[in-house]
Amino acid sequence: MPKKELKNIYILVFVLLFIISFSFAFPITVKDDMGRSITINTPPTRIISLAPSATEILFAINAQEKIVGVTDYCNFPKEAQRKEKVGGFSNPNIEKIISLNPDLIILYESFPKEIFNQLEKSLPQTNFLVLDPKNFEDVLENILLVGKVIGKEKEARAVHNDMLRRWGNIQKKALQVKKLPKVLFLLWNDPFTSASPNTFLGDLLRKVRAKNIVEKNEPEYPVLSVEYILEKNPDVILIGETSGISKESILNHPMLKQTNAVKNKMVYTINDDLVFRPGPRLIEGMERLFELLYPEIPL
Amino acid sequence: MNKKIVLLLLCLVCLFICSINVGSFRVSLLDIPHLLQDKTDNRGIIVWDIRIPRTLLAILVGGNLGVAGAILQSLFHNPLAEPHVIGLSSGALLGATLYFLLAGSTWDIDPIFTPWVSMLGAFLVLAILILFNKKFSSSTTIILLGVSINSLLSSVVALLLFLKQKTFQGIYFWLMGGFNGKGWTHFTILFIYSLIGIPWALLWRRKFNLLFLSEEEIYSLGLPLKKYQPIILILLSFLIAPSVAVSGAIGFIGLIAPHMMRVWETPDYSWLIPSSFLSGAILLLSSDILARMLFYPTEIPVGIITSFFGVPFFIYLLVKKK
Repeated sequence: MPKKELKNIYILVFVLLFIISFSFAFPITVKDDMGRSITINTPPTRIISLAPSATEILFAINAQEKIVGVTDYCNFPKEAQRKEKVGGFSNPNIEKIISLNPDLIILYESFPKEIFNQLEKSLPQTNFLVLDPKNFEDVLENILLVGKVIGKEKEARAVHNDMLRRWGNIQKKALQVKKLPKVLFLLWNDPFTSASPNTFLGDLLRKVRAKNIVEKNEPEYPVLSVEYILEKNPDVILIGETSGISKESILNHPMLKQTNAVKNKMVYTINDDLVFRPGPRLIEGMERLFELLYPEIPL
Repeated sequence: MNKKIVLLLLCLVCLFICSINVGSFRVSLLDIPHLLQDKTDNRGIIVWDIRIPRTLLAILVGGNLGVAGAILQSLFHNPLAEPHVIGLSSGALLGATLYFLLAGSTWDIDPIFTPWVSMLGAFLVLAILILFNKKFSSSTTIILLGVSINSLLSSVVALLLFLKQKTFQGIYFWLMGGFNGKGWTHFTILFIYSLIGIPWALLWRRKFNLLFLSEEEIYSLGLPLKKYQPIILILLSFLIAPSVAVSGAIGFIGLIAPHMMRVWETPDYSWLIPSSFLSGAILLLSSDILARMLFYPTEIPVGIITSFFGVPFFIYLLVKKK
């Protein structure tokens, strides 16, 4: 066989392999958090996000151009607010969703099943990705999954690895902590409402080696009496920014004065979304918690 | 009287057309057959699977609640009687809440199953009412019993939701009542029950006139009131429970619709039963249209609208009557 022909065959094989490798990326079949099998034939281009955290994931992996609809509560990043709104988180406008003609809808387990069924029936061509993260690790997996489904695996891997690296750093630094602080998180002021170990905040507190003074898993957002708070005597009180509580009102609270947190002025505010929203900013929340709890240990 | 019925019907038809047009796009009636055939057009799906069933559902729920209110007012000789008052709605609510809790997460709930469990809850309350009905001498005691059952069951629901907060979100919109996400299946369930309840109510329309008299008068006419009460309670649960089950707790329709009709024409039940159906449907459908339009694309629970517009209007009627 002449050499030239052999070269041509090589090129042909190479080109074929190249084409095949591309067509291998899609269609893909993945399992979502509910164990539902989803087959995606072409990378989605019209995505509706039915949760603020899903919107944040999409923006973080640079897929914002593909978003055609978000909820009223999708407030981060700022550009997300300019996207078309499909209504509330648990009461979205079905008609609006259908009319946007999405090819992928990302939602969470807490989404009303009734509305989900209706959407699935009315949009037979659309894929539905249902997420149900329980902790920080699950959120990392969610980011990879979303990346895979929309053909942004590389970007998702980068976000994932960055979060993993920062978490590793926190784990390392957390070894220097000598006395584990008791923490009270206040989500709401009247009545004092906190978050259980079963929430994302609870998970983050565990990961920064702090003790949540709420010990029971349920209810997830328990109402605490002042008596309980005094008895547990938290070393640090964290206040959610949307709680309607000012730092001063806690520092001057006639009864909370007796807690270590108020005595040592360890009362801080923190952005609720950083510690409750199961998206890429959860790592920021973890770092912020670490900084507030251990000012003596620089990250 | 007949003219007024036709007027109400016309009003309802207009609202129906209006309701099908509320949303992200408009359709003319002539376009509908064409839209439904075109499988590639999402608008066909929206009109057929969402707008039409929810419109029909609002009409049926409003109508059933209106008729139920009219009958309740006759049964208890009390113009304040209303579906919520006798505790049937909270029975339905308790049934649904228990089911939501047992199902575990929102994801495991089968929405088709919910109406049936809530019916069960309503029937439980009904059984209690009938059981005690024999022991009570006056029918106002039944109202008292209903009111107490109502607050007891509401507290049970509140306690359950407090302990299991995850369920709360699922049940919240149900508590407020609304038609978002409701389709043909819900309509079919309700339609079957209405086929029993509405003709039954129409047939008995003259009986309700007698029942509305005071108890002494009824006895002096030689009517076996005690015999009728449990049967009417069954009729009422056919009207109320499925409606609450498919659309949640929607207040005030059952109170206002029959009252408006009473003031407008006559308290005669041959007028009141059909007209309360139509006016209940008109009130609820227009509330649903508002619920969809006011904060578009966000939908607000229709129960909020019915109270918001219903109560001031009701007060106006009361004042004017005096």
